[in-house]
Amino acid sequence: MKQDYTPDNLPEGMNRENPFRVPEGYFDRFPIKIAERIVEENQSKVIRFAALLKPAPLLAIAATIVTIAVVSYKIFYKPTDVFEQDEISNYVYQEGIIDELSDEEILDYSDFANADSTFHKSKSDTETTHIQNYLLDEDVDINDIINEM
Amino acid sequence: MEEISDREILDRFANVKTRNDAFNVLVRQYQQRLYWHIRKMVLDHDDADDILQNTFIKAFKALDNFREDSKIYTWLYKISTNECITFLNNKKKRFFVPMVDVEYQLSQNLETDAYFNGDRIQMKLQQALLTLPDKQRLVFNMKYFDDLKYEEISEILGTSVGALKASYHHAVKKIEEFIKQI
Repeated sequence: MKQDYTPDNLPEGMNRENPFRVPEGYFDRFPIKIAERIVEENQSKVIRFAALLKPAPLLAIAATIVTIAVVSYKIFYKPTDVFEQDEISNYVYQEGIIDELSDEEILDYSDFANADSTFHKSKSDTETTHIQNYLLDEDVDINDIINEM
Repeated sequence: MEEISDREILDRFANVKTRNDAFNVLVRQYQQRLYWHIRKMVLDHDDADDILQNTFIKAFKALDNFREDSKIYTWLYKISTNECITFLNNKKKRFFVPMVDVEYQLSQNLETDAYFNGDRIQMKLQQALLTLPDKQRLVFNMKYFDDLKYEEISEILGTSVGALKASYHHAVKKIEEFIKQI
C-alpha cells in the first residue's frame, strides 16, 4: 500500500512546535497600526482625488490658449497663395485695366486693398499708400502719370 | 477572544458607522494565524510584519467586493500567500551573484535571528525547507504546521488535491534526505 505522508510521520525528533517568536506586545499593537494605515490610506485617497481636480483650472487655461491660438490662426493666417497687393496692382497696370477705371474706382480699390485683411501689409504696401495719399492731397490725376510712364 | 462570524463582520463592514470597528475585529481575529503563515515563508519578523500589513490593507480595500465564495480566512490566506510569493520573487531579483542566493541568505539570517528560538532540529528543518521551491514550501507549511485540509490548500493555491498530495510527498522526501546528509 502506498505510504501516505501525514504531518506526523516526519523523521524522528521533528515536531510541529513553532520555533519563531515576535516582539512583546506585537499582536496588541498590530490592529492599531492597521487602523492608522487605513486612516493614512483614506487621507491619501482624498489628496489623490484633490490632485485629480487640481489640474482642471490648468486644463481650462490650456484649452483657452489653444482656442485663442486656433482662432488667431484662422483670422490672421495669410496663405502664401493669396495674391499680394503688388501683384494685383501690377496685373491691373500691365493689362491696361487701370485705363478703364475712374479715379473714384481707383480710390475705392485702394481703400478695399487697405481694409482687406487677406492682403499682406508689406513695406511696398505702405509706400503705395503714402504715394496714393500724396497724389490725392496734391490733386494729381493718376492717368496723367501713367500716360507719362 | 470570541470569534465573530464572517456574516456579522461583513454586515458591520457594510455599514459606514461600524465599518472600522468591524475591520478591527477582523484584524484581531485573523492576525496571528496569517502572521505565522507569512513568517514561516519569509522567516524575518520585519518582512512578515510588512507583508501582514499589506495583506490587511488590500483586504480592507477589497472587502466590499468579497463574494463569499469562500470563508474570509481562506480569502485572507490567499492574499497573504500571493504577497509572500511576490515578496520572495522580488527579493530573488535583487540578488545578482548566483552563489549568494536568497535561501542561503535567509538561512544565515535565521542563525542570528533574535526572534528564532528553535532548537538544533528545528533549525535543521527550517534549513531543509529553504531547499524546497517556494510553492512546495507553502504546501508543506500549510499541511504540516497549519494542519489545513488538502481541499482548503487547493482553494488557496488553486492547485488540485492530487497535485498537492504529490507535492507534499516530495517535500517530505527531500527534507528526509537533507537531514540524513547532515
